[in-house]
Amino acid sequence: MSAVPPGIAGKFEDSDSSLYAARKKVYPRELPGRFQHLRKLAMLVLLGLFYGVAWLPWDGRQAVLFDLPARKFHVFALTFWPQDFFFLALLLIIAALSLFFVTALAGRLWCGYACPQTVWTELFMTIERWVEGDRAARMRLDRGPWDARRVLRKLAKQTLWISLAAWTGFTFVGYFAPIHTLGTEVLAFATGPWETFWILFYGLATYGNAGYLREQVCIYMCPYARFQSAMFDKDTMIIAYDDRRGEQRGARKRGEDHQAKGLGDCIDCTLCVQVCPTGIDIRDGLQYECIACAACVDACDSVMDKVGYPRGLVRYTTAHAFSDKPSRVLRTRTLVYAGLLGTIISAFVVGVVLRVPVALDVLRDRNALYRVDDDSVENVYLLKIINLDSRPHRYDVSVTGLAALSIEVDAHAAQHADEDHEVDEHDAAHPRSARTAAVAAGSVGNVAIRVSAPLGTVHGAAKIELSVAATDDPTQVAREASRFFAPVQ
Amino acid sequence: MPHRVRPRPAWVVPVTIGWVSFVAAGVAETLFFASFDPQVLTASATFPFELSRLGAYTLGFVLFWALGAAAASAVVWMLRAEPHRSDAADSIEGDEPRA
Repeated sequence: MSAVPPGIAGKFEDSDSSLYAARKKVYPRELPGRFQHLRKLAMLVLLGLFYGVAWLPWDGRQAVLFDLPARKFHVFALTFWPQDFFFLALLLIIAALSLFFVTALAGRLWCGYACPQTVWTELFMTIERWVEGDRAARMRLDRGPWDARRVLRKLAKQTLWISLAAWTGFTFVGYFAPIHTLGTEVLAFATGPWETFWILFYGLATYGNAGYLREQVCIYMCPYARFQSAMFDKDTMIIAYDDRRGEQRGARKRGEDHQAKGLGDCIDCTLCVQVCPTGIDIRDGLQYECIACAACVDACDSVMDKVGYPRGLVRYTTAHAFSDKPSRVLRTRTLVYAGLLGTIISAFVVGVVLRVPVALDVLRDRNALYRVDDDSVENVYLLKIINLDSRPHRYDVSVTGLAALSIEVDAHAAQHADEDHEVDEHDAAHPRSARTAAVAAGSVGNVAIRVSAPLGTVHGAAKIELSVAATDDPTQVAREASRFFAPVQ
Repeated sequence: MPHRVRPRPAWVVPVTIGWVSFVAAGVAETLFFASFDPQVLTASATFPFELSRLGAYTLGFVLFWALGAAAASAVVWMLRAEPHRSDAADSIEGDEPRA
């Protein structure tokens, strides 16, 4: 299926010589309307979330922090570790499926209302309009000489753009390194080299994409723009010009009976073209450049109101509705997407709820396979007990797999990997015993244990299983297999 | 079938290479560093090598990105430099005037 209807197909047939063309700068005109109000609202909410959420506190830390230096992702009450990579993968699949689902139902809603490229472009254009004036004023300014007025306007715009881009870069990095610390460092010009690099990188990307590349990102670089038509069918919501009603387009005098003159409802005012941020003419049919921002719908509605024709010459519709057939929301395509999406979201939620907040890694002591001591054989293991919970726990360490194994937590070797947290050594409810180890919330406890068996019960090697269980919550259990070595005879 | 290609500015090729390999580098970075802690990796290097985690992530990302961009550039270049029936071959045949 092609996103380009027959009407437009011939337009881009060309030889190699015209394959490269200089871009004509698009000066979108702004006209208010219901969909543009909706878009502004979506933009404010999304930008507010991006710039605001980084500053939200939660339980003494940043609420949303993908703490790369500490290898922990905090999302409100939840903390994800590299071990939880599975959830990240699920989340990405959910995001992709949601996009497919929404596209099948409502077309390129994402492009027009929620894509960061659109949102930041809108923001940068709002500044541009504010400093340089409306469409005509901006075109005049760019055509005119470099006089004091133009220099001043451009300077003001650049100052605002660059400040905003820098703030964006800073906020972005603030999601990966604690933003309060980062802010202090920025104010003191003391950010580390890597933070500096990423702030500048992201700032520059924002400035370039939202200030200059704009619709060209959608037209030339966006993969979604290329494959979205694969999710489309005849019941997908699209923005279209009703050519049966609109043609023959043409100018007319006020109050004139246009139908008698053989004219349709389109007065050919070209407002729909002037407001288009990607610089296309919706009257040529559905085009892959269209980001479904509905600016042309609002523009045309305002004109129809003025000339006293019914609204909706350019409107949200479906291919079926356009050919006077009923549109269906429930159809194989949407049901399949919805089914898949529902299944994976349920799997995600169940997974997160049932997630046992403790993990165990077992490393064997590298220095010696075993140590023979009078009448017993001893193996040493280093346990990494990862407390994924938001409160400290004391864990019972146990070993299974062989009869007559005994275990001892090496109190002197028990140490703590994460300097940020103090181990709760004096937990009154659970006094220290030889077989338990305390690990602070959200940290890793390194505990050395000695497992021993009577000499002669194991020959060579045997499989054992080590496990830790929270003393205050027996459902928090983690197990890990390892091997126990002994002399062969 | 006629080309249905929109005329495009010359910068589109390098920028697309950069952008697609950027996304690929993001995926590679996530997969790699979710599996390996850079601090353990740098500690086990065979030469003195000190780098913070953030530094290792950045360096890793740049390396993945460079690799992806190099591969993509090579693909673009090889497809463009696809040997057509070369001018040389044409000129040999061209020696014999055809009817």
